[in-house]
Amino acid sequence: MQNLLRFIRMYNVLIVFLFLQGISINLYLKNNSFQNSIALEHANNYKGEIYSLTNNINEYFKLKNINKQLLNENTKLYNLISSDNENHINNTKQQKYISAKIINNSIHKRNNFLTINKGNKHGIKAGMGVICENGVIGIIHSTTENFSLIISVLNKQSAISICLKSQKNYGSLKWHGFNYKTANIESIPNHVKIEIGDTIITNGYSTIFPAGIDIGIVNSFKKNSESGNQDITIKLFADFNKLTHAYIVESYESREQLKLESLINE
Amino acid sequence: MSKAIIKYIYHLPIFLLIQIYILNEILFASYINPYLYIIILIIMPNKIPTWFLLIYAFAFGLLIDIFSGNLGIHSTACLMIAIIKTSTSRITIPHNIIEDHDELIIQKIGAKSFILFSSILIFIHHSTLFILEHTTFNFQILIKIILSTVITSIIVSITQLFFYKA
Repeated sequence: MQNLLRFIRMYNVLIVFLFLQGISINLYLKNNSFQNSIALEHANNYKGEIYSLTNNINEYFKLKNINKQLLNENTKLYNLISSDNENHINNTKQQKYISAKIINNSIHKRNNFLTINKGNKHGIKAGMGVICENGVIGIIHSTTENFSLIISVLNKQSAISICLKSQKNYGSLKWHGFNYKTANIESIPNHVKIEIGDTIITNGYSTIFPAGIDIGIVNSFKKNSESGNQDITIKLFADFNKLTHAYIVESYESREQLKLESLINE
Repeated sequence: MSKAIIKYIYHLPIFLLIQIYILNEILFASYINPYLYIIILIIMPNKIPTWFLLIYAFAFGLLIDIFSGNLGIHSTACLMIAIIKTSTSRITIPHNIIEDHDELIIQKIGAKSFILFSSILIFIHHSTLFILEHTTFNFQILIKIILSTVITSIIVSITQLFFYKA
């Protein structure tokens, strides 16, 4: 017993260090997968309150930009009404859009998140898609009563299924870090002919996003003989540094599709 | 000593708020973010017991983590600083210059040894941070670590020249 006490007294610093380091490594490993990030969910509500306070001040400096975005969006909507009436009406039956204000955003980390000021109370659930006026932003990770946390496209865990607008070959969108203006596309095979400037859109196989939402244009591509898939870099349409508002997509047909697909697993 | 501990406890929320609201919004070259908050760990006097430094570093790191969405990254990196701080200060700072209860600031220990001392600690912190964040190591990450170390070192030196008095 005395030996044990002497040992503890001799190495007390090391013991405290290893104990705390153990806790933090454990937290790190646990929270790497998003299903387990319970602590984040709890912290979400308090964080939301604090961020919405500072956002009130920040918003004044962004008014000019917001106006510009709204104008752009208005013209886009006018064009939609005049060009294909039929298609548009069909779309509105399938999806419902909820608008929200982005109150926290980051772009410099490996795993980026956004916070918006709408939650459970406004009908938002985990797993819904989030878009802005010119592209895809991410997917809702968790919600509290008044706030929701979004996994940004600029995140290791994010994988959005996409297709080429011209050829309908599908792949998945990944972000490899560092630059918030570009992203990468995986699993498009070597034989598919791609040109620089091709548009990338969502493919609608998943129930999260409706088909045909713009994501970006091809910036560069290279054939990779090892994996058999091309290394494609795209330029994202959405400017993550200037985001102010977002739209949450709720798809009515998704429930039906999920119900049908769950039969396979049974 | 207990006076110093109380002082550092009420410095914590100030640096936390500065880091979250001001510095996390500032980006150099679109991906380099200065982490000023570790200045408080760097300048702590040697007399502060190591167990307090360790617990303090862990709590501080965890608070930064909660606000940035990835748990465990900053707290691991801060603990790395806390454990190597005393031995690094013994190597880099000349003996007989400082008393045990003095803060390790430029005015006391001189510009040359402060820059060496702080940049070693900042380099260790940033290496741990970015390698854990990206879970790989390659040339691009090395560049990011070095550039971030330089920028954080400059900001730490400037801040403590203006806000800490000998």
